[in-house]
Amino acid sequence: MEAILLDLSQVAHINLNSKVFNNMPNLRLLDFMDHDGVKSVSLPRGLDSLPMHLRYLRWDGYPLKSLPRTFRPAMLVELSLQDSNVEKLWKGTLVCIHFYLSVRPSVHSFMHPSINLLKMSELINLLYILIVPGFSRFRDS
Amino acid sequence: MFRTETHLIEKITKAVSEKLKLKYPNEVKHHFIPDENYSKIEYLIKKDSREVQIIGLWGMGGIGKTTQAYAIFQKASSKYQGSCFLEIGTEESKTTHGLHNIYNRLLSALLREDVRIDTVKVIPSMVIRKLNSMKVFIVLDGVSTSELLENLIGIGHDWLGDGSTIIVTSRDKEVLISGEVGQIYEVKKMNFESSLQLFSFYAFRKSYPEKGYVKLSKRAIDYAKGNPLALKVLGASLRFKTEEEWDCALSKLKVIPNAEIQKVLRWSYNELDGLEQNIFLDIACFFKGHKRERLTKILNDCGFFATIGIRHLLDKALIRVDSENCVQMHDLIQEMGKQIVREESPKNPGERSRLWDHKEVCDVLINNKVRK
Repeated sequence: MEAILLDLSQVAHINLNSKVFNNMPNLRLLDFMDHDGVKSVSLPRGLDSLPMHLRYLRWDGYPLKSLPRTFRPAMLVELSLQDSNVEKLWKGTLVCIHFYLSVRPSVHSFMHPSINLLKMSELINLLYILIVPGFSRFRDS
Repeated sequence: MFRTETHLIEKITKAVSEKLKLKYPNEVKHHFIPDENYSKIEYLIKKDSREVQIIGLWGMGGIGKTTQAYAIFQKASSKYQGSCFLEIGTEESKTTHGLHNIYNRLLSALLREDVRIDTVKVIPSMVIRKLNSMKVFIVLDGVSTSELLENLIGIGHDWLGDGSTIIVTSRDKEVLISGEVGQIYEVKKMNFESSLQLFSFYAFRKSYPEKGYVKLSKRAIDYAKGNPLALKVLGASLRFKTEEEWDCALSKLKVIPNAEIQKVLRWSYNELDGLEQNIFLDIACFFKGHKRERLTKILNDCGFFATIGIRHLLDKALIRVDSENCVQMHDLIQEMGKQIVREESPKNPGERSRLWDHKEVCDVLINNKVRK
């Protein structure tokens, strides 16, 4: 499996297993889009892992407070977690040059003044990152 | 030398407007052939009508409904006080968010200001008053449900000023009939001469075949059955090939087991290399409508050499880039891409490379059915 696209406004509520992505090592693109804010995905037992080789990850209304601890997405180009509960992404330091931070629901991307304070993993690839309100805590960590 | 200031200004204005035209190099301008369809549709629009006219264009995928509507729109819209060419995505019209988006795009374009309404049922009276006093030209392109059409046309009948014109295109005649569209015109297939001309634009960049290619061109357009999309894709794919290669390619086309138009599209896909096929399938299943720059970056990082790959897909007329710099794909071509992925494992969605259908995605995720 390389790419999964799910329009959440078209589905009833679903519970996903914490190991749901464990057997998808080849997944490159994952897009859970939720324009209507219905938040129909739950992860009652958390989330074990996300595929390492993801290049594109969009998960509107991501239900947990953080991404899986083992998630080291060295190849990620675009990350979008709008309207989600995320408070912190993962541990480590961010080294990247092209970095766009967008505060919801603005479409415009801009460089955040406190960009140097951001602490994340060794992402050298991240080009676009769209973040949710309540994210200030992550800036200070 | 300029005799008078007026003369100079005229020259400048002309030069500037020529430059501005160059800013919008679109297919329609370069390769549009005003055939019988065009003159018939133009004739349907009553110039001095006092009513709101609604004209429906109906026909199979790839037959040129959008192209015809766009050509009319370009020619006529400047004579109206407001205009909007509204492309409606199939997926977009299925969700509430999508519907609001459609209304907001329409109202914003007509009033030339940012209009944001949260519910379709309540339109601010200011907006209605303004619309009421305007003569506008609207194209609703790709309407797939009669509910959407009724809502949008409801806007037309009740709120638009006298003499406004609406053109609706749809693949489904029933949608137009139940939406009570006044006049319905079926866009017919291109005749032989126009087919040859359009095909030649793509295959040779001129309006007739190169020397030595006349017979081959006639053979090729026989496959396209007067369908402009198939003519474009076929012409673009045969460009720069030798006579022997044409002969071989056309023989290959013959053995693909599909309906005629699908056959042409599938053949063009088969001509791509493996990396280009991956880019093509990612766009068909995942990235249609995304910004070119961003999706190029992502697909480059997938190891697909997308900068050149996307260039090839454009050259082969399988995708296009719209005025917003988003990558678009014709519905019929997208459907072929999805079909190719389905055929990877017709009965087990979990064994395919890409999933987009919400029922299949839910089934596969909930029941842990991914196999590779």
